[in-house]
Amino acid sequence: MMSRNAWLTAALVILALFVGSVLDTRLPKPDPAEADPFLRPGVVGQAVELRNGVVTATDVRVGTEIRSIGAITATTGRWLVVDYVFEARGEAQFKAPATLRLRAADGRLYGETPGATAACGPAQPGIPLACSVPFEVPVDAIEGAHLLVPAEVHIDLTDDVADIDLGLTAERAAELAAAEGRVELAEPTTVGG
Amino acid sequence: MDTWWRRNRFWLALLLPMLALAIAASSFRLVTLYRPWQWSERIVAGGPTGTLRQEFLGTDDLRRDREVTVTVDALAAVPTLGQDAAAPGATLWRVDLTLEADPDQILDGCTVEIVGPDGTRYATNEAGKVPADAQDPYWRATRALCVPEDAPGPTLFLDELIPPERPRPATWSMVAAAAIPDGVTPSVVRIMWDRPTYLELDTPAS
Amino acid sequence: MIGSVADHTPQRAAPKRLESWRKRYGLVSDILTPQRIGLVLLVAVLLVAGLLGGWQDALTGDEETLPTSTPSATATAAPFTLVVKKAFSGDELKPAAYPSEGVRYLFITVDVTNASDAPTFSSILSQAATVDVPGVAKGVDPRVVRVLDGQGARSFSPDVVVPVVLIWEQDAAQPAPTSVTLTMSGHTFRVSTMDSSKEWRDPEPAWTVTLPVEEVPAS
Repeated sequence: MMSRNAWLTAALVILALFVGSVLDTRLPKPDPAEADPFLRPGVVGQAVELRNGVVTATDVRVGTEIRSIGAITATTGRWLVVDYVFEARGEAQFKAPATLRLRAADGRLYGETPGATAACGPAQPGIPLACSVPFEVPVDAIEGAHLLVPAEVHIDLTDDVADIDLGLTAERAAELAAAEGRVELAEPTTVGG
Repeated sequence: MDTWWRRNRFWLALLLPMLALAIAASSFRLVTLYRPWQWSERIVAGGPTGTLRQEFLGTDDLRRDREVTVTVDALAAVPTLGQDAAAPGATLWRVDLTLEADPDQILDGCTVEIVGPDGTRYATNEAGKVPADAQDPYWRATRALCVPEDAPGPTLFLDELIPPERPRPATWSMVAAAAIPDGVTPSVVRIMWDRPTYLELDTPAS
Repeated sequence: MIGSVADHTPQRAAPKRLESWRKRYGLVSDILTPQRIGLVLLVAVLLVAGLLGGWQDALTGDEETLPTSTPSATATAAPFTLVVKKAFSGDELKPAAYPSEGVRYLFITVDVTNASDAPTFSSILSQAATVDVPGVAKGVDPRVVRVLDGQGARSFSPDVVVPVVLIWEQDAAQPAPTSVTLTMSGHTFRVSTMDSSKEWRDPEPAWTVTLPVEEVPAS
């Protein structure tokens, strides 16, 4: 049979485990900062350097329809199309449109286009490629939107992500949203010289 | 005086080597899992001719040995190659290769890259290319063939080995081209089939 | 003491039985200590309870009937806000559905809004919608097609109203349904226990709506 000391030890261990586990649930969890992406800020017209290339947003166009690879896609909201130039570094790469995101001023994310969109690539290092990416958005998400371009396939990886302010002030957003028309998305084309 | 330190000196001395071994052992995944899925095994030919040897797992789950000898015959800038030209601001560089291998080697599906002086790898696919005839609406960049078109040799389709209709010659040539930005002069050619092994060859002039 | 044997025997018989049980126990008492017996009994109870389904049934209680919604009413099936519009049955609906041998289609039009704050794949909507119609295979998710442009829906953007048509295939040998009950399930956004990715999981039926099924309008 267990001695009195043994019983006491067992009781103390169980008590310690209980107290420890209660404390553990109450303590705030550490923010996993090591899992955050590296945001590289920029504005329209500015070349933003990522680990594996350079991204420059060149224009923002808004309409109620887009045409891409011959297919027309409509919306009850708006299509916000960002034209950008991607220059690969180190090796030839693609930028898949589905990996890009638009972040509204309140943090809502847009992306994963419903319609067919040509992949941006393969981009040869040193030969910039002009591409477009469409986002289906509600009208109230246009003001203050940022374009997020990941170095690899996801904006949530611990990797570079270009965070480009598209300069959509309240007036500009209202002006863009008022225009109703079709936005044409061209195939990716090399930007010469 | 028999202190704790003295009594345990043997194990204390062993502590650092053990720590090093533990760290090395924990790199197990890097060695067996991550690196084999990158182009991490480099074979430097040291000249225009080299032999690539590797063991690879086919899509039919069989392990095979690959052995192929590749020679760079020429690497030169050209205005066009077939229907392809380089985009404005870039030059088309054409590489001619001679390959030598046993007819039973599975060698379709290679990748050829032309490497710049700073190590940038330029792809020989459609990257940076435009049609030589700007009016051509149906242009698609030509894909370089790694094996003779009329006698490609054995090939793996999905998970089956398709035997060839006729034997592939022991030696054949292949041509590939990369659009490289103006001002960059490449001097190294890489050729590879399955990760992680690639062969690095110099051009004949260099 | 000297007495009749009859006086002593009853007293000796009872202790004798106890004695014999004690002796038998004594044989195994070094292995089957009282603690061990207790442990074995506990394990046996857990095993039997586990085999019979554990304590789950005790916790969930009775199945409740699902709340019903009506056509054109707004209802939530997380992460979507939906307005179920109409149901149709027919052989084709270009460009979403083309005539196919032995197949009749069931179409339900819905206005879908993603009420979350990130893109949600249309597969979540598709697996949330079930109908109970003879000839429509259970467990096969409907196709989701955007009404405005006839394209397959791939994902839904937050706060954009997307009119879609859900398309099920029915075995043409079965009679065309005159009414259909659509059950919509809500999902929960949680972290996967396996790979710590966050997804919409665990569909739970949320509400049903019954619609009359019309013929596909000719056009």
